[in-house]
This record gives sequence, structure tokens and C-alpha cells, in this order.
Amino acid sequence: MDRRSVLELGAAGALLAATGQAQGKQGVRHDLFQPEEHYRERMRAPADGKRYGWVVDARRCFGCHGCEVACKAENDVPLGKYIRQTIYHDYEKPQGGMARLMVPMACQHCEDAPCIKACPCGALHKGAGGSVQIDYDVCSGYAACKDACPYGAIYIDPVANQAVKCHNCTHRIDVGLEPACAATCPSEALYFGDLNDPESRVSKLKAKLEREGALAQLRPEKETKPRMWFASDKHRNIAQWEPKVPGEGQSYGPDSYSVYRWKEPR
Amino acid sequence: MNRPVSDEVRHPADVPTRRDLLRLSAALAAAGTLGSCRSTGSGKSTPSREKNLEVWKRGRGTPYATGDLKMPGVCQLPGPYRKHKFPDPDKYRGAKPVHGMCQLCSTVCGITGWVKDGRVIKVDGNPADPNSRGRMCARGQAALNHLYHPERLLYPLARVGKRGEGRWRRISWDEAYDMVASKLQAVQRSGKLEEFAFHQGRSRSNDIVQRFLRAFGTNTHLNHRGLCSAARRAANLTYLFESDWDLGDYENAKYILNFGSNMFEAHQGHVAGAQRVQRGRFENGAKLVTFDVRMSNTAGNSDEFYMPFPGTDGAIALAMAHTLIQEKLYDDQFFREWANCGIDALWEQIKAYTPQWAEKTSGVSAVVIQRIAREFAAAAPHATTMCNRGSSAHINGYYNDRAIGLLNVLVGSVGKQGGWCWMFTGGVDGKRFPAPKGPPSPKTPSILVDPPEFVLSNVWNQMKVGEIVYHYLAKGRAKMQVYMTYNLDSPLTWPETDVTRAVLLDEEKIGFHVCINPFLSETASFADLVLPWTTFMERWDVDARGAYNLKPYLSMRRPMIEPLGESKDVREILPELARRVGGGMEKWFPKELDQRSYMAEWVKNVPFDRAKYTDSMAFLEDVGAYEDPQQPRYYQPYLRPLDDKAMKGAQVDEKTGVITKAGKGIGIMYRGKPVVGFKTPSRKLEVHSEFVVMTARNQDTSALIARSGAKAKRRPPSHAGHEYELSPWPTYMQIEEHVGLADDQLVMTSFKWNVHNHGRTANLKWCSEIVHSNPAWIHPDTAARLGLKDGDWVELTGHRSKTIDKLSKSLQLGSGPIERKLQIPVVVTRGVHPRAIAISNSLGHWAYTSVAQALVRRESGSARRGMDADRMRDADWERNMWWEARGGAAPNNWVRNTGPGWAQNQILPIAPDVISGQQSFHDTVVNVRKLS
Repeated sequence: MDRRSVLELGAAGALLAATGQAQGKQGVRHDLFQPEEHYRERMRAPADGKRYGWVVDARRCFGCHGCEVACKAENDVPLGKYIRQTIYHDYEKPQGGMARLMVPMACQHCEDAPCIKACPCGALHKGAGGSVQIDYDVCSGYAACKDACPYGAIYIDPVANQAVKCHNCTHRIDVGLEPACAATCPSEALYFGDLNDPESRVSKLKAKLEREGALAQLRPEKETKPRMWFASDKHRNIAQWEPKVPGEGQSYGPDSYSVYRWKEPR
Repeated sequence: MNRPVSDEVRHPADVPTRRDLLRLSAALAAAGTLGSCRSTGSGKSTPSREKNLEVWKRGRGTPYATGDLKMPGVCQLPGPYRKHKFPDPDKYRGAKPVHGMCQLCSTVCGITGWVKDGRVIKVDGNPADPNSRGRMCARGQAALNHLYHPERLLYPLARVGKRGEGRWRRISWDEAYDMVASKLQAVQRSGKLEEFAFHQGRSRSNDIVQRFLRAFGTNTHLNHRGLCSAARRAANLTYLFESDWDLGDYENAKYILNFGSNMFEAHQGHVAGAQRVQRGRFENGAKLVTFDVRMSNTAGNSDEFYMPFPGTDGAIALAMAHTLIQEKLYDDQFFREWANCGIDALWEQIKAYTPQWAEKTSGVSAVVIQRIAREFAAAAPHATTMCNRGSSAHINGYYNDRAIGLLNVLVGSVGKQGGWCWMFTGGVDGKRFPAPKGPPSPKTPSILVDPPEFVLSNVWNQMKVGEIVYHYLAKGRAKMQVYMTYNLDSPLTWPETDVTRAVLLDEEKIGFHVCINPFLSETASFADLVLPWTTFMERWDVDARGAYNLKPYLSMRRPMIEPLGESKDVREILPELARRVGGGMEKWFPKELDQRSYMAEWVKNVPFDRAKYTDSMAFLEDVGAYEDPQQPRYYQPYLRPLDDKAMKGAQVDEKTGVITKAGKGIGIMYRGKPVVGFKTPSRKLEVHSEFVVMTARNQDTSALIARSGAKAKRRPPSHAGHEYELSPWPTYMQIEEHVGLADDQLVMTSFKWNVHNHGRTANLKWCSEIVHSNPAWIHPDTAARLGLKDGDWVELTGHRSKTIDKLSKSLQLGSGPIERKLQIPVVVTRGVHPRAIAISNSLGHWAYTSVAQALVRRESGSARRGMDADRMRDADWERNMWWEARGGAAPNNWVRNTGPGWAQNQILPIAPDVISGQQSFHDTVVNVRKLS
């Protein structure tokens, strides 16, 4: 990558900061959707009785990046591309004093997934437990999914020219392991599991946090029914840090790690 | 190697759902409903698979060039370039879990390597490790970068030309062994055995190293403790004697009072401690309050966070103690029974330290200080302090930590569940699981091991004062014929880089330097011979850390794969060297005692299930770690009763209640019954320490030591002339140079990133991708005063410590500015104190692989002869590393978030506190000048 590209990355980051919120408020990109009959089947999850979902307790996250590096190691994610990233957001508490909110972010595994609807090739579909998956025998890198994803959770691999996103580590689940990120999280902020199983850790936690009124979802106006819920600090609701999450047409970029960006959005 | 390109796209496997999709897709194509497929460029909107293929072919990249060995992060793209089986459902099928321990920092978390076809495919945490409980941070998750690094050193290299010139020739191990052996034999002939010095940065193989050094006859075994934790350890030892390491019972706490520790990102207890702090908070309702000059992630995630002036933690703690006593919030009974002084005597010492005084000193409001003191007392005994280098790596660090410790004594949380605890061992329980017996300690004193200026650095443990090693050599106070460095990064991580560099280059001061390291580090670049060391995934150890479960445990590090190239561990290198040096030392390294047998001997007392395993070794190899389920947690060990057998022949001092046997302390009377008490001279918590006062005066402390029953020592006669007046009390010491700072002066503080350790992780591409650049943090007030904004560059001038120079003239450290300046960009943030400037350590490498230097260019010099650069080709790094500073790291061309960062130690003086020898990393006064 040459210096100009780095500069462009920086510019993209600045653009993201400026426009992120505005984009976040727009509806989902209907214009990118295929006719319903094209994706109806792919939107249907296999009847395995499972409903995979995530709870992210951002109050516990201390931003160690363990999940991100675990994900790179598990999935051979190239430098400059990310399946998941941790957002840093420095802010001043209403009662005074500084604080930092840290939020691990990845694909929301939406029930009403815009990426599946936009995929012209028929590659994106629902897999085990309703996870949003990509069929690599079919994906040909149109990037319509990336353009449609309201959370910037998809990147196009520069060599394969194919879309890559979180796949819930189904290959680990199949052999009795947790997803690489959740397994390693030292703060115990990341919970993954079957929401249909009331005894699963994720179900219990979700029920508890719901009772406390602590859960919120990202960009509900997109009406994507994400399978990821966030508990964030009482001083900082999701709308205040959500502009840091990339939007349609964007992917997680390396510039978000820059210490210069932590104070955004102000 | 380019792969053949094929236009043919394989049709999907016969998975029913997918076939259905294709059928649907084909049907739709036929019906021409896929009109929205963009970028076909043909004008016709035929959504056929051929069309898709055309699009894909246009967008695909060139495949990655690879060597023989697959590198982590380089996608395998068989056939045409598309991904295949992603995620691969067969990845873990047939993979064998091999347990070990991480060593990318000092927390040594339990890990599990998944091994398939002789290759580690992923490293996970090992849930059987009772300390880390299967969790790992980013450093550990980047273990594959460490193991399969394109520029890993795999063959011995001997220097060609001048030392430090960077020219190398590859040699055989045979030649390397003979070269070192002949140098060591020359040391033996000289009769100055202490002039063979072994210097480790981070060693978890101390048993074998010590065995080798003792067999040779040298005691010059140097470490980095003075740069790390000497002050905190000395403060804890003053109170306890038994342990230098407090382990707050955070998981069961209700209140955690943190003075400058960054448990969430660094700290020796990091993953184990941090997860328990969060469990304590979110499952037990604990409150976390942090004082720190910089908003670390720990500070930023705390329930409350205050920014005091650097080095004033002790003032805040003393003012809290003031509130506790004045408002009678302390635990009166506990204090009477277990503190070695009366509360009135303590009050006499504390009464001047009012919250208002502390507000003036630290900048933290008196009202806040009082409120927190009250909350802390209300939560007791489930209340504990937490501190580390933030409070202790200061000129006044010993006193800061003495003051912080006092709070636990006052509220009576010492040793209590949820309180301020410790363990009788800092690692493996050596009494129960002793390492195979080695030779006795030789009597070859070295001033480098026991520098006379430092009061407490050698009275309990050998803490040593690593940061003065090069200074002493420079001043001619010591000499080394052979210097063996091991996992040491001193040119980068030691203060005052220029001193380190000059000494390492000087063949008069260091006759021969052999460096043992897995990479060509900065240290290696000053060596005469570099030996390729294995990674922690290719070697054996029995290891453990401060146990946060408050029961000792034990884990095993074992080779997951055969060592790459010709790399070897010290467990192989040192025995072979001993055999070649000869002269009797070889008898401690019998050939038949191979590494596995040695380990089996070490762990033979580990209990195991006889129905499942043949021996302890088989059990540990299967599970990886052992914690005794029967062993109680180390709560209130001072209350453990002394039985009749122990009391037989014992004497009780009527006045103090101290119980002695044959002149040695064994306990104290407690409510009419004999108990163990604290292992101090008073058998109580030493709030008032006569011992440190007498030690500092070089007086005879043998009577005190006898009563403690501990293994403390007197300062040796060589310390004569280095007497100081230490306070027996927790007290406040003002750092002189911090008073009356000029407008352009700030106090420079240091910190560690959560993806790096001190000097050994910048070569890990996944860690450096996250943090590779470390601009200096300044407060908006500073920025306004000096006319600075984000990305502006400053030049910093560091000053040597006036306080240290005054306290110990014989050190000859001086008090003027350091000649070398540091040019660095700034980031303006409210996350740093207005009078502080924060610069991280760990970055600014000028060696230690191209990755660490943020270079895409591969090593092309003669150092390549020590690598397997063609086999281990990491095309991901070569093609995708986006943070290379193409314009250089100079002010005019630098692009934010690129480049390898800046090394703070260039302008950070050698500044050991004379009490413990702790390097004061956070006290340097710097002048800041804007670069236009």
C-alpha cells in the first residue's frame, strides 16, 4: 500500500466521522435489494432448532483486542481488513471526569439481513442457527452486500475478490469450541450461544440484562432485526457512540485504531 | 510461486440447500430478473454465472507468493483464487490439543496449541489453568506470529567486522558451543568467575539457568527487577516479610481502590487479575476507583477516575488514612491486634497529612478523598487497594506503596476474603514441587548483583538494580569478560539508551557478548554471537504466577512442535555448554537426564488419578495444569494456630507475646492462644518498621531477622558508607524537581499498551497493526499554552533527577539534561494530567525484524543467513502492511498512524530510587519545544 492509499484511508476515516451519523439515520438500502423470490429461500434458516445470537456487555469490555487478534488468527484475515474491531470512545461523564467506552463490534447476524437481500449471486444465506453465511463457490465479489450492510461488517478480500464477514465460527462450534473471540475474552464481555436454549449463558444473561433495561440494539431504524444486543454504560447510550460504527459501503478500517480518533465523536 | 489461473469455477458441493439455491439462481437467470447486477460493463444485464465469473476475474488480485511454510494470515486459496471451505469445517478435525503456557508477557497464561500435521494451527487459552481460566489477551492470540515469523532467527550467527556493525556469518552449533566454551574457560583461568555475567530480561527457566551459573561458579545473575517492581515489593515486604506480592481478592471484593495500576492492559497479573476485577464488579457489586495521571483502559472503565499530579499517590493515600483515623472509621480491634504500633503513635505521623494538604499536593479534591476513604471503610473487610508501577515506579515509590498498604491495615482487610491478600509463594510451590536439586550457591560477590547504594534491594530477595548495570560498567565499577544475554531487550527498554549502547559497543567493558534470542533484537545487534532460541511453543518449563485463587498451582510448558530450524532452548544449550566447558561443572548435567525426564522428576509429586494416568507427567501432559482442590485459600494465614508440637520448647515474650523457639520467631499469642502471626520481627503487620531504619543505617538487624523467622539478610559490609535515614513510617516524600515547573516543563510518564509487552511484541504483525505509533499525549491546556494541536511535533529534553543525585552522590548520575533529544508528534487529549506528558514504551524499534520497524522491505543484509527467509515468506505482511511510514518518521513527511513509533528511553535518565533500586519511570522533567 502506498502513502496515498494511507492518506485515503485517513480521509475515509474522516468522512466516516462526518457522515456516519447521517448514514446511520437513513433507512436501509432498498435500492440494492434483489426481487424477493431471489432471496426468499436463502433467508430461511435451516431447521436445526437453534437461534444463534450475541450479547455484548460493553460495560465489561476493557478493550484488550484479544477478540480481534483471535479472529485474525482463526480466519487468516489479511492486514488492513477486519472481521471484527473494538471501538474506543473517550468522553466526559455528565458529572465530570473522563471515561472510555470500549465496544467489540462485528457482523450483527441480522434476521432480516440486507446483505442477503442485496446479494445478486446467491452467495449470502442463513446457515446454522440463523447465522448469516457466505457460499464461496458462488460469491463473485459484487460487493452489493458490503454496500447494503448498515454496520460496515463486510470486507472484500483483495486476492479472492470475495466477501468476508463473521461466520459465528461454525467450524469451531461443530467440534464443541466457542467462537474464537468469545472464548478468549478476558473481560467476559462477549457472549455467544443459542437463544432458543433458555439455559445457555447467553440466554440467561440476555434475560437478566433485559430485566434491568440495559440492552439496546444498533441502528434499530434499519429494521434489520440484529441478533446482537449491547449493554453499554449508563452514562453513554448507544446513540452517542454508534457513529463510530461504519455504515453502508464501508468496512472496518485501520484508521479506527489511531489514538487520534479515540475522542470521536465529540 | 504463482498458481495456475483457471477460468473454471467448480460447481458447489452437493449440499441440498445450496443446490436448491443454484437451481433458483439459474431459474432467475433464465427469467432475466437479475437486472441489477452492476459492473458487467456489457450493457446487457444477463445475470449468468459466466457473467459473475467475469466480474470476479476482473476484481481478483494476484495470489500471494508463499514459501514452503504457510504463514499465519496468508489465506490459502486453492485452485482459482477464490476462498474455499471458509470457515473450514475440517480445520479442527484431527488436530491435537497440546497444552502449554504463554510467555509473551509475564502473566504466563495457560494455553492450548492445536497441532495438525506438525504445525500449530491456532492457540487458544487452556481452561484448566486456574489463574487465567482459558482467557487470553491479544498478545497471546498473536502467538502464531511469534512462532512462524518470517524473520525468526533459526541458525547461530557470529559477527563479522566490528561489534554493532550488523555483519554476520552463519556458523554451526558446534562452532558456536566451542566459541562460548573457550571464552568461559578463559574466565575460569582468570580466577574472576564473577566476570561471567548472565543477564535475563524475562526468564521462566530460572532453574536451569541457576543450575548452570552455580555449576560454573558465578553469582552474577542479573535481571530487570529494578526496572519493574522493586519498590512495590520492598513496601510489601516491609509490612509482611513473607511475601513481596499482594494479590487482592478482587473477585470477592466490594471496593477496589486502584492507585495507578493498569490491570486491564498490562500488570504481571493481567488476564487473571483483570477478569476477577470485572467479576467482582459485575457479579459481586464491587466499585472500582482509579487514580492515574493518564486515562488507561483501566482508568477509563472504572466507576470513578481521578487524575492526580504525577507521583502523589502516597499523598492521597495518607490523607485517606487521615480521614479513617480522624473519623474513627478504622477497624480498631484489628489494628490493636495486628498492627505493630498504637493508633495514637500513627496519628502523630499522619495528622499533618490532611485531605486539604493532599488536595494541594495532588490536585484531587479533599472532599473526594474523604468520601472515598469513607466508602472504602464501609466496604471493609471486602475492600482492597490495587497498585503497581503507576504508584511505585517513582523516586518516592517505596513510600507511596507504604502509604497505600496502610489503608488495608487500617480497615482490617488484610488477608480477608475480598480484601488485600498474598500467597506464601509467588509461583510454583517449591517446597512441595522442588526442581531437581542443583549445586550450592557460589561465593563470588559482584557489585552488579549487590550494588551498595541501595538499601532494601537485597535484604529479603535479590531484587537487584538492573538499570545501573551499564552505568556501573561505564564508570569502571565492574567489568565483564563474558556477557550472556537471554531474552533481554536492554538497548530499547533500559533508560538512557546512549549509555547502554556505548557500553555494549565497548569491548574493554564487555569482552565477549553472546545473546540468546529468537529474533535479531537490538541486544543481539550488539552481540558477538547470537544463538537462536526456541519460542515458548517449542520448549519445556514448569511454571506458575501469583495465584489469584490464593492457592498455589502449577502449569507445564511443553513443546507443541519440533523447534523450527536449528533453534534450541537453554535447557539444551546450557547443559551442552557445561559439558564443553568441563572442569567439573558437567557433572550437574548428565547426558541421560534429558529434558522430559528432568521435568518428570520435577513434577513427580503432583497427584493424579491413577485410574486414568500412569504418572504425574502423563496427567500434566493431558491437562496442562494442577491446582490442589484440598488446599484452602490463603486467607488470614496469621490466624493459623500453633499446635502443641510446635509449641514444645517454645518461649513466649511476656511483653510482646512473640513466640520464639531456639531464638527464632515462630508465632505470637493471639487472644490467649498461640498462632503463626505475621512473619515479621514483631509478628505483626509492620506499620512502623525498625528493621528498614536499621538496615538503612547499616546496623546489625540479626535479632530482628531471627524473630521474623524469615530469610531476610543484613546488608553486607560492602555497603558501608552508604547509610541513609529512612522513615520507619508510611510517609510522603516530595520529589524536588516536580516543584515549580516552568511553563514549558512537564513530567514525562510512561505506559504500556494492551497489545505489547515491553520490548518483545512489536514484531507481531497482528499486535503492531493495532498499535505501532505512539505520539505523546498532552492535555488541551498544555496544547493551548504551547500553541500545539493534534499532529504537531515537539522536541523534548529530558532532565536527570536532582533528588536522586542529592541522595546518592556516589552514583555519579548527575542532574543536568540528557544530551539526546526526542522529536515526537503530540495527540491532544483530556485523558492525561495537564502537567504530564505520556509516552508509551515498547515502540521505536531500530532492529527486531522489519515488522517491528514498520518496514515492508525484508531483511536483506547478512542477518538473513540466520533466517529461513525464503521458506518462511509472509506475503500478507509484504503486501498488506499498511502502516509503513514511506515518507519517513520525520516531522514534515509523517502520516498519522504510520511508522514504528518513538523510543522514550532515549531521553529518560537512569534514575534508581536509593531505597529499593526501582527505576523511576514516571518522574522525568522534560522541556517541551514546539517544532515549526
